[in-house]
Amino acid sequence: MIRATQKPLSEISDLLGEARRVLVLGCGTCVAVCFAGGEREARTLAGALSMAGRTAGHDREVRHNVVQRQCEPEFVREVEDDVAWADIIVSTACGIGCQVMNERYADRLTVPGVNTDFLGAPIEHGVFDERCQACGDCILDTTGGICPIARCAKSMLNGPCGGSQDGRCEVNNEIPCAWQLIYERLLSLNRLDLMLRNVEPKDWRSSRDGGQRRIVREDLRL
Amino acid sequence: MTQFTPSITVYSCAYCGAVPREMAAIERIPYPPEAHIVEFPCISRVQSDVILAAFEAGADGVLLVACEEGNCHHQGGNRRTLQRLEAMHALLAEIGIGAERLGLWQGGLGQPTAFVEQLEGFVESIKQLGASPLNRGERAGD
Amino acid sequence: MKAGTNLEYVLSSGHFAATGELGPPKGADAEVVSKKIGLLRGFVDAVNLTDNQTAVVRMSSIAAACLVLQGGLEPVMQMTCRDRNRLAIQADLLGAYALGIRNLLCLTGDHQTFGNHPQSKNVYDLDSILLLAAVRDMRERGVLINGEKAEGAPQMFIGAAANPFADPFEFRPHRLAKKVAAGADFVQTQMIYNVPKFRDYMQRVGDLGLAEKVYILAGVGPIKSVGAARYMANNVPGMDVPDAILRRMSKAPKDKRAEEGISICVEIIQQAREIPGVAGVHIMAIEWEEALEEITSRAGLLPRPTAPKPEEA
Repeated sequence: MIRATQKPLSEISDLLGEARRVLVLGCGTCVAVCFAGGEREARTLAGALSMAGRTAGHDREVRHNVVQRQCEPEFVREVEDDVAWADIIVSTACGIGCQVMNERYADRLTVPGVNTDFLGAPIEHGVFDERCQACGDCILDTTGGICPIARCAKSMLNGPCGGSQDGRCEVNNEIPCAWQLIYERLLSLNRLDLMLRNVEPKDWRSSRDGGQRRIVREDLRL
Repeated sequence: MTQFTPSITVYSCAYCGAVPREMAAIERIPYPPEAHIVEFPCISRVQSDVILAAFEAGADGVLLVACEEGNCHHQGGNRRTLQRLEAMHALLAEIGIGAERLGLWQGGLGQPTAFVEQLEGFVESIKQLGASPLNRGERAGD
Repeated sequence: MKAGTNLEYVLSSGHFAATGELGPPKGADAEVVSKKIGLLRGFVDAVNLTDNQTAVVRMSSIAAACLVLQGGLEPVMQMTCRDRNRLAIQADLLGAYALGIRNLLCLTGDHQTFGNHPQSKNVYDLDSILLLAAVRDMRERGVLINGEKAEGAPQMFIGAAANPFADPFEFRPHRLAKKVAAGADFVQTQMIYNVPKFRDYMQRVGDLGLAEKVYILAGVGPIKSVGAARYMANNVPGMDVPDAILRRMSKAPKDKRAEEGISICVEIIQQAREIPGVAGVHIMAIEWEEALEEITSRAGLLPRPTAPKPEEA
């Protein structure tokens, strides 16, 4: 899922400017699961912004609400009344939710309350790791189910580079070397042949490099 | 100048906070009337949102009563609260309420006297600080 | 001969090759390069020009390679995949060849977090193996990466790097095999201080039949001080500096440590020369180019052979 972390309170306060009525809008999906922008986090942030405003002498009212999926226009329709009340909206959803709010409610500015970090998974309580870069051309079948595009600092297709040491990445020794993991996995699957062949240059058009991507499903269109 | 009477919210564990409170009652040891005690099944349930709610509702100070190290009824709830304390203090400092208005006491089941002393000490420390910045000008006494 | 360079001549005629390294300056002063050329000329067969080494911005390797050519020394231009996509890589290759550069070392490149612009966006459109294949295809098929014909395809003598000491150790010879399959003509290794481990690596490289397919130049470098030795041992990923070397450096009297570093380097060259499959040495005396003369002389590498002029050949 999408992983995010809340922006520093001071940064969010600065984004509010002179706004008198602030709506903090959470999302009940990815950001709730990673404890960055769900109902509780939106409520806490609203309380903190409200009190910070009061102690600083601002005349500011802060409300909060949450929608189940801020990334879908039909879900954000539910908060029409709150939006109509607000001068500004702080979205604690991912960058998608924040943009959907700006598209759906074009006459109000929705600002981000979180930084959207990556697509990842929890590896232990409170620790989330990147796993996918949405490159649009999945090669996990050739790499033992471990993604070198997202997890190798150099996105190498023919790794590991010369900086792999003791199973750690040269860029950050807290992070495992993806190609060491791939090597061990393929070895255990008796599929090292996959790593011995040279692969072709990747076609990055399906990734962000090809410009904004769009999926059209004719079977689903109305 | 009238004497300032602070409003204190005590978030207490239902074990290591509730038992000494009841013992104090049985032994007729009075505790400060400024303290409004709210019990939770586990102190770890009290996260930033709950603490902010107390200040927003008018508290001048919040005291958390957690179990002693190694004696948590829920194994590690007290440790989780300790883990979060620094961030909670930082948040209170940042929003202008002040870190010192949030206290923590790790109590023992059989310590009614210590429990009451902690409460008295905390009430006294908040009296010294005066009213919460959110309450200034709204209540007499500061 | 594939590219007809001096380095290729030395290696293909069975001489024990010696290459050096020249770090371009962090500035536009061509004099710095000229001065270093003077310290290297006559002692090595060719000299590597690093490409924003350790991700620190420096004069481009193409420009520095040109200066080296003008200075009467043969360049080995290094190219990384960190800063260029496949368009820029190919454009620079075509340009480099047009300027007379004939030896190319293909690298993936140190990550930019190590350098002086850690905030930058990296590229890594290709990796070193894909770069090798691209340069090989230009030379042998006359085509660009997309399959289009190049008008005047570069005929490069193609080099690769190898780190025998990185992990997974068992996979390293296989990775070298991949580089050979992708088109590497010669290989320069990471700096060797742990000779037994390198010997072990070379044994397995030999078992894979690679020693007959590629010229392997053992990487060496003199250590100037105990601090430098420690730094390499602890802070450079993929470097293996055994305790014995650290002890030897710290035992030497303070004013004799640089000398001791040169002696260690000379001994490693002599030991590496005895290892089957080692076709030469790559001496990295970075920011200590003055040491090259003494190292090559004491290691018995002088005088360097020279390729016969084309008209004589």
